[in-house]
Amino acid sequence: MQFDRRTFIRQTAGAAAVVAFMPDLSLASRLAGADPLQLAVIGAGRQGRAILAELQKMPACKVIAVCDSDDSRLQSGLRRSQNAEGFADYKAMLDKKKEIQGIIVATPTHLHRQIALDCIAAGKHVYCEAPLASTVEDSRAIAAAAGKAKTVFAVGLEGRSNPIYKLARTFYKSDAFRDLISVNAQHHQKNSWRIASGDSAKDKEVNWRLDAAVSTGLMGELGAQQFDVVHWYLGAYPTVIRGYGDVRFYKDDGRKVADTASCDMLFSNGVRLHYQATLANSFQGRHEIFSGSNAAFKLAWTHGWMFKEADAPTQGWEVYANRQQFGNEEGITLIADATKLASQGKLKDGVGLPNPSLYYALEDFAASVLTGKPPTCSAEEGMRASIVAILANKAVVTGEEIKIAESDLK
Amino acid sequence: MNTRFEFVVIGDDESHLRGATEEAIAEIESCEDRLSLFRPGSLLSRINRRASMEPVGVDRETFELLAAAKRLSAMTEGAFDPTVAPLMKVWNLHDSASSAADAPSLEAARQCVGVHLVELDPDRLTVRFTKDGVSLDLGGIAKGHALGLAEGVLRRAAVDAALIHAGASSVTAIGAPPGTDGWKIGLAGMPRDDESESSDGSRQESEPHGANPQGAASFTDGPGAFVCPPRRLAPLGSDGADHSIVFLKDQSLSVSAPHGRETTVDGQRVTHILDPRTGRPAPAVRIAAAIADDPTVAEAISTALIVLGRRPRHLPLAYVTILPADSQAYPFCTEPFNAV
Repeated sequence: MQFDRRTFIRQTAGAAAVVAFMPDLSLASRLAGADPLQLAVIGAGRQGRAILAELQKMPACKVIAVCDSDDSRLQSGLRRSQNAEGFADYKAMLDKKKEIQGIIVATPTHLHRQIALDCIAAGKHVYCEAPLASTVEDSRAIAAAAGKAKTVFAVGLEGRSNPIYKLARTFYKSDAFRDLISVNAQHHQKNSWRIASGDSAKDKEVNWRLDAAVSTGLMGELGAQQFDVVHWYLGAYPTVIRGYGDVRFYKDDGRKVADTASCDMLFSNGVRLHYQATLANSFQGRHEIFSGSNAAFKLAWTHGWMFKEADAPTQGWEVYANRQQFGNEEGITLIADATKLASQGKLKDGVGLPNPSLYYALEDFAASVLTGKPPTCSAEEGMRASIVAILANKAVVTGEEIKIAESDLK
Repeated sequence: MNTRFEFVVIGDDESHLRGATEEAIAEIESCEDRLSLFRPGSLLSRINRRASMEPVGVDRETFELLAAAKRLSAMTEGAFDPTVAPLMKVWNLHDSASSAADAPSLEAARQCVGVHLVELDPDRLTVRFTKDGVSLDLGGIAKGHALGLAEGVLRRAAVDAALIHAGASSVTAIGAPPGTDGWKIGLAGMPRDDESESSDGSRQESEPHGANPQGAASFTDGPGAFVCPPRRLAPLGSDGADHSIVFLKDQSLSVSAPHGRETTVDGQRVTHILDPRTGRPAPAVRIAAAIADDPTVAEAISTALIVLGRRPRHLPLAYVTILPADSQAYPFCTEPFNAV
């Protein structure tokens, strides 16, 4: 192949963009010829079905059982599986299907504890959705049990597995970003959170997110994922949280759980995170913005961009990097697998991840089970993230300033 | 799908209805994630990459859709064919600019088209292509399938009156608005049976022919077919009992019209609808519609009507088809269409 200088620099640009990040070989190629991991999914609601859809794409995984106490949800879940067996009771499933190796727990958050403990006790590898639990005590109990087990326990905090987030973190730790000044994050999505059950007797049960007695609110159900990205990048947890929340839009259904909430977190190095979430507006969706003295990152789960400061040093590869315009701002697109795509002349096709974030988190779990590598998000990290989210929700609900000591996260 | 979905949902509890509709929308989005040809991470993209090398396992819902697509292809004499993607690629019809396909490319693509090249294993729920180059494109039934999923969500949430439509071309009705026999759907692109054209080109209204007192569509070519004479098109928003109104209750309607997606090839205007049997753009009937209990079936049949220019010969009577009477081939159609 003839190279001109521009092509050479573009391809080297791709290489520079992944200089400290070598994308893992796909799980399938690493495990070619091995038997697929036998999995079960407990909880066939929307997240459970999303999990089933992603697992269906992985030949290294086979879902052999689906469990849900609600028959309508169970049947919906089974339709999203390839010949899995259905169960209404997870204990009966554990008893009958001894060949299950790993279990995905995707039930309502306040039900995680007992299910997770029983699955660990049954000797199964567990992937538990985030937040890990709805109380500090439950979070600690799960982490303690997982810590003693010989099996894998992974928490579904997806940022840590996300290829674009991993790539951005390599730049975050470099002079390209330099000093962290502040973090802003949001989750805006117009959605009532109201589940319309066909059986009014089950209304309270299915609308657990709107039940103030058990729900961790926007901070727990949405914020936990994004707080954990900040924890991971900073290598630190907040020491003070202030929160605010209100029912701003869905005033007619009697809910007490805020549909709009925000919090400010102070970290020990003086950095603050400002976070806001709302169910009443979708503008700009879900993202985190890390502002540094040389650049800012905007990370939006399937996409990511770097916005350089005018006085930041220029790297040679930037001249030919893929860029996107946002009003007056120009962002360098952060593309996972840039080197491979550049060599195929498909760099523009790489904008945006081909799979949702959930896919990579599940793939990492499977890889941990099959290859022995440590989970991307351990039970202990998941516990800490969960506790932060629970305390953020407490700040929103009570209006009190919450102080967090290191011992609170143990 | 690049399609706007709209919901009209009737009930007493707005919060319940909103929740049900949000769930239905989430189901549509999930369907797109799984079955879009244009998302490299979708299950369909994975099938297209791998199925010529090995059987690819799929979930039950996807398997049933693929099985239905094969049955629909047979039912429509091959005029609907989910394996048409290689031909679409040769004609470049997925993009806005198209080019005439040369004969060798066309023939090579035709060898990779046909549902007989797709093997489904109902015990293992796998799909396999029997040769390289085969590719599935479910675009011809995607909207219908999504409507069916959304309808299922609403029904399970005990919604008993709703209308969902996908773009302006596919609509499914749950029950009927209170006090009516069905949701009133206007086919504004469909010729009116009652119109005649005077020498100066103006239209003269006359009494509707064959319409029943309630204005529902009447069937003038035997059960299952609704045929319109080739007249000027009904103006948008027209009222009254005429043959361009249908009433839907627990049924689905799909309309296919080649207008809006046309290009010029070798000096001839052609449409985006390919005839899978010949490998060439279909000389299109101006507009066609089908009514069925299942929105996926309705969509496949309306596509087939455009290709065939007539009702499939062995289509069961339960499926209503709507076509201009002479069904002559028109090289292009520019009249606007809206379902109201």
